[in-house]
Amino acid sequence: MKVKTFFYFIKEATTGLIRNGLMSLTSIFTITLALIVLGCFYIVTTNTNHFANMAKSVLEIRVYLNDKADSVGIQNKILSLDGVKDVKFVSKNEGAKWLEKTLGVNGLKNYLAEENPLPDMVNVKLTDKANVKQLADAINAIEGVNEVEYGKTFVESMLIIIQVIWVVGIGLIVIIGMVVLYIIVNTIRLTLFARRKEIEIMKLVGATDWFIRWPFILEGVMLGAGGAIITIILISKGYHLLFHYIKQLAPFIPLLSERMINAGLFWLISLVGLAFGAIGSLFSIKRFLKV
Amino acid sequence: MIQFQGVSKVYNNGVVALSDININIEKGEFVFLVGPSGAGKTTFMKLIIRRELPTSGMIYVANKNLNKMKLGEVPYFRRNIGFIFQDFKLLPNKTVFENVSFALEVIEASQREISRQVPAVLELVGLKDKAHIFPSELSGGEQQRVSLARSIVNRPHLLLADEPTGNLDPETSWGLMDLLLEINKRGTTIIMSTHNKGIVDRMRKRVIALDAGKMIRDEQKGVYGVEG
Repeated sequence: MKVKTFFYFIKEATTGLIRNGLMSLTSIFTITLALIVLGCFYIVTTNTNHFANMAKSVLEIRVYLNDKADSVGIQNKILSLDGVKDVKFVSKNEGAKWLEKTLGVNGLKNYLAEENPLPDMVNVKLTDKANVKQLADAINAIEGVNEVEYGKTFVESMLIIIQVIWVVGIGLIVIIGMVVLYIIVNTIRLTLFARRKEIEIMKLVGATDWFIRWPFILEGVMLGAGGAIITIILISKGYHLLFHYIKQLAPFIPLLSERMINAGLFWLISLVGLAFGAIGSLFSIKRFLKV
Repeated sequence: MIQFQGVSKVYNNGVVALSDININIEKGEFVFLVGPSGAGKTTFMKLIIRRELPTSGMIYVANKNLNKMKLGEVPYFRRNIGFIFQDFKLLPNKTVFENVSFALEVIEASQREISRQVPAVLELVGLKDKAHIFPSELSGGEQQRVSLARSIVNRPHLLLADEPTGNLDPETSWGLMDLLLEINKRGTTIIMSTHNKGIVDRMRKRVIALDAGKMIRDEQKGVYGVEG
């Protein structure tokens, strides 16, 4: 593409934006709204994911063994699994000691020494990225393991919450996305309508379809970029405030740092914004090129 | 230059616009296309510029088989054809110069070519002094000359004129015809559809007459209508 042609495209696109000033502003406004929803969705999902991961990594799996099971062999097998950081064997006697201390009943240890109903136990520490549920199942399948125990309900309810957020968020984004596309298509169509005579002449004197398309695609992309810039500014400011507010109010909640959020947010919002604009333009110009 | 071999065109709504047309137009010819409204003149033109495809039959323009032409080739093919209309189709927000240079800009011609070609054609059509005013300030005849300048600025081999004198008074019409003759003398093939009996009868050029989609007459040095 020639430099001159590029500037021609930019000039035509800007003229279109300015000529339909009010409609352009409406488009940018709706794109911004949609992108803000997308951005909030992004912040909520990344943070809940992060939170779930943190919760998982704190967890241990307690493995209860059968009587007379090969405790050393089982520990080695557990250690060889992916995601296991460390194992610690707790014999039934140690268990009794711990119980006596916890319950504060003196002599319980001696009483239990005669016939100890407690099983031997292995305490498994997991690495950060371990999949708790999968590991627990794998350990349960080892011979000699009687039962495994972990913060099952908590992790599982976290997973359900994340799924619900995804479904609701994606549904919302799809609906708003369609509204946004509709508005962009109509904005570009106004420009197209104002220029239908020009397009007809361009077709007749032999301009290529892409030459005709580019200014309109650029116009759509500029609308998308406008919405994206506003959204990124609003959301990063908003997250900044929220981050500090929550840090003060409830410092134990592990929020993602601003920098981690902003990097992902920037790419997501820019790409989606520009794509909205470009796709909207392509939709609306299709019909006008049949000359 | 142009060959129609058994060409028929039936539109999707069932209207038969042309049926079994066989025509051969040589390079450098000047051809009048006459016939009542709805006879198929406009369809004939649309087929030549590959705006429509024939329902059956073959069309060759400048040695190219239009039936087989790929869509991507159409823009480049059209750069060899000029087109003027009854309603001029000028862009009101562009000056005379810009209207003409527009045709070169959108095919990505160089700045050098634009600054050489545009003044030259404006001089040819006698509008050099009015290059920087807007079409609304021009008379009908002048506007049609701008349109003509735009259609030939790309130096096409073929010029199609769809009732170019339809909105002009007799005197300006003759001015335009003189220009078309001049362009024709320089080697451009011209096909002009018209209802203007006076012009056709005086020019004594080849006349192709269409009626209800059929070619009813094709004669060298012909007149508008046999029946008067």
